[in-house]
Amino acid sequence: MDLKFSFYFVLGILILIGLVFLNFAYFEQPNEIVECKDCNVILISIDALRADHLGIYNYQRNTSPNIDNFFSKGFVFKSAFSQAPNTLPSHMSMLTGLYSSRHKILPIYDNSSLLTNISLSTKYKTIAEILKIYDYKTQGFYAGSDHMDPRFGFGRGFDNYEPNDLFITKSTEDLFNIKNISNSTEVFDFLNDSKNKKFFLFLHTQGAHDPYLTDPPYDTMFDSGYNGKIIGNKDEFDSLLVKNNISWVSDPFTKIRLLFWGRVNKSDPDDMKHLIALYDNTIRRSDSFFGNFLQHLNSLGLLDHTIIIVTADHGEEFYEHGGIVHEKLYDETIHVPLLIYVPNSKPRIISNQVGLVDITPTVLSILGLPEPQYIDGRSLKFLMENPNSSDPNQLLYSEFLTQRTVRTPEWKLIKTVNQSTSYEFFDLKNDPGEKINLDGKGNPKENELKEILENWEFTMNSTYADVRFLNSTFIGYP
Amino acid sequence: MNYKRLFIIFVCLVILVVLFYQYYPKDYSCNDCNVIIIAFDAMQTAHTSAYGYPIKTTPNLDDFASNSMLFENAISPASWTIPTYISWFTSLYPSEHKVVNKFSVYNPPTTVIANLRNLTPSAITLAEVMKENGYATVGFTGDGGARGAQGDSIGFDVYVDTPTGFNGFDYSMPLALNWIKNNTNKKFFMFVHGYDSHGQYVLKNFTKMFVFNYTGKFNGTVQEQANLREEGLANGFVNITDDDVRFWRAWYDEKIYDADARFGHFIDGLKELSLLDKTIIIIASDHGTEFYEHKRFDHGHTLYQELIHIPLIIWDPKVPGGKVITSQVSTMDIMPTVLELASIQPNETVKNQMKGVSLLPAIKEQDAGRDVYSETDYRLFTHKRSIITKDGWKFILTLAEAPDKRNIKELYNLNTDPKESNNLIDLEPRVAYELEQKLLKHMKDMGTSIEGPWMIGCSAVYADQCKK
Repeated sequence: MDLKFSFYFVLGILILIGLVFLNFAYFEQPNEIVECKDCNVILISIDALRADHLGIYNYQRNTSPNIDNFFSKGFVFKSAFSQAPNTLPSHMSMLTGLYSSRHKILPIYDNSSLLTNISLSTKYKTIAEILKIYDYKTQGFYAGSDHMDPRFGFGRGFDNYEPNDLFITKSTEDLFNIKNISNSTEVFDFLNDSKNKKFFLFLHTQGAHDPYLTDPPYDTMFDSGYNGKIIGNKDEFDSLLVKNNISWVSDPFTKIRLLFWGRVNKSDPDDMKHLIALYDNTIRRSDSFFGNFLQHLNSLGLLDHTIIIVTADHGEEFYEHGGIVHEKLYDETIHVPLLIYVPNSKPRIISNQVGLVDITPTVLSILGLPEPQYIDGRSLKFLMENPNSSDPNQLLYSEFLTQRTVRTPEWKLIKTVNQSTSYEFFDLKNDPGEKINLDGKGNPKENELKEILENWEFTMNSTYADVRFLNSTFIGYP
Repeated sequence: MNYKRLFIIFVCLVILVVLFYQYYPKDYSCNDCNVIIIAFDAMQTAHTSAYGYPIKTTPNLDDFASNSMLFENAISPASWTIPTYISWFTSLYPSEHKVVNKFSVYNPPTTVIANLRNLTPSAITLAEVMKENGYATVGFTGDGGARGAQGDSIGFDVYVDTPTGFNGFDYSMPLALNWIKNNTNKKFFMFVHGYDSHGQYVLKNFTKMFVFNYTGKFNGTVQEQANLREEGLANGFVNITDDDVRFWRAWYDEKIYDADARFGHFIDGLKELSLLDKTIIIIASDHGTEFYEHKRFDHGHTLYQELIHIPLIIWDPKVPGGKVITSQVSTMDIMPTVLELASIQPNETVKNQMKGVSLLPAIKEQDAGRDVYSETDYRLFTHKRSIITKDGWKFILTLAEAPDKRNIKELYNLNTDPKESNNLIDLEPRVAYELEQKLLKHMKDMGTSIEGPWMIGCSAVYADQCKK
């Protein structure tokens, strides 16, 4: 009968439509809430670790098997940038959520020692202080660098804040006895004592910092066929140090850096290749330390209620722009890893531009605690829950000394103010290495970014460093 | 006849009728009523007998309030006149409407009187909305901080603010009654204001009715009061004896008594014109006055309860009989409440503008109260912001205060410490942190930069006026 046929036909169509809608509903990414109430927080900063030298960031060498494996279950922020290419201001930004122009903790030198009279204003709170308000046990271990000294305010909010990674000591014999997160009894004691309470542990390690000296098996992990002058083995270097008494320098760390870098010939491609390999050795070593640390956490049953973050205060330059270590604002020194593990969360890769200033508010919002309102950073929880969220903010700022930069995923403007003002403008999609300066070539985006940067400087009351007071050799910038 | 069935039907009907009167929403609105807002400038709640003050300072108000809705916990968005009335008339916080001081530009020779029209041209006032909805809009004020030049007169057909100075109900109320008598066929929205209780209002016949055995040096002149005010601002406290304080409080009480008597006459006048059944009356103060509760005098200089906890009484002819509302509310709520009581549906712009909320849910006991915010930038001598949560925690942030105070935080539990004498800022870090963040968020929502700069002598509310 026609009627019956029509009826079933229409019914069939309706069922089909229904199935199609159901399918879409099924495949649409649901928002997975990312939260971890009363969880522990471990924040690890591996000083000078470039993002693009980690396996999880697609580096061709296997520098970080443990980190790669662990954070494949976590949140990988592909485009995270530091707010300053220098240990002191960058870590303060990390722990407060503020740009350096705001927290004002900058490396100012008087002859060759860091000035002592700057400390974080009490109108700001560090993440340790906030967690302390919420009854967290708080502990900080930092590599004994003067840049992380408690006098700057790093110790605020910590029950204990002490040097542990004895990379820089008074005695050259102790110099290479690097305590680290893998064999540090202090760290393990703390974890043992705290496993039944809620705690915040901050670990700063200089294991990837120059000079890139390691012990076997790390010293020959990458590029073992080298026979030039650069020394990457700790013991070999120790003998060299004994022979070369650089008596005009008192600080042992500075002596060692001078000696190390003095043997590097930047025009020799084999030397450059080896230099980078030595850096990768240190990363591999740091990664092993991390692996052991994780095992320890696991044995204490902490992994299922601990947020673990691995990041870096800045990256490292290998003559991409004519310099070494870290003081400029190109991506090699400001593109850092940001890896966040939250128990029971769906792993995600997030490519939105984010900053280290976002770490503090992100951690607090995942814990369900109120974030401070005066900060420059923002919680990234919304991106972790849905990486496809619309993100109104795709501007990223970074600053140091005479330079400021503003960056979008496609364009980057670097402004330098000395006796005059100059700009560099890069098309990141076509020139990710930032080699072709398009300043003054008439791209309307450049003017747009200039204005944006000016507005930001005005809001931040940002002032440029007076060049006369700068310490001009690289050893001034650990 | 089946009596059983009849009985059951009767019982059902009774139940239905009872339910009907229980749940059928009372109509509080009156779209053909007049609306009068009566402002007792500078009258502290704690000195008002309607609120339990043991001295009978306001017998007329007490009587009036016994048939009206009395709000026990009403808070002002500011602690002095200039910003407050503009907030009443726009339901915008002072940082939003920007009439935060007498002048908006201070550097001579270009000293400019702050005016709502210049500072926030998009703001729509209550009088404008009432006028648009067919009300005659009239204002009779004592000038001073309610002067029309600041924007208080916007939307009023008639706005009296002369002579200059601090004039009271003795001046404004007869004018108001006179206008009504000459405009009997008009539905009106009226603002009647008097400075009678204010420190700078001259008490013409000081009978000392509440003064007992005072042998001190003060006579109760406005000059003396001004001197005490300035001494407090300069030194942070006033050097004065307890007897003197009692004298000044008695002086204040007499002023309130006079204001109340004038109010009584005014209400009698309305009764004679048979207007009470056709008029919604809202009575409030813009702020209180300090009499040494925190060691200083006058108002505007702090955000303590003696300055921001104000009387709020509403007479609605549709709601006879007295009612006390305890939930915390704000005088930011006056504008949305007037509109709802007058059955006026505001347009989208006005709706989005108003930051206060209608008091009707509170009246109907459906509102548990809310957090309220206050602020002061008094004479650019101080910049303070506060939050009081609905459960009585109060956090005050002093961004800057002359000569050199910066970033001072105070935390009080108003339930256990109503006099705000015990600063818990270090003892309750969690409450302090959470309230500070709420307050900072509120400041950001109002469009102010929380970073400042906050300096004495300039107003950071005016977009970076303080930046060099």
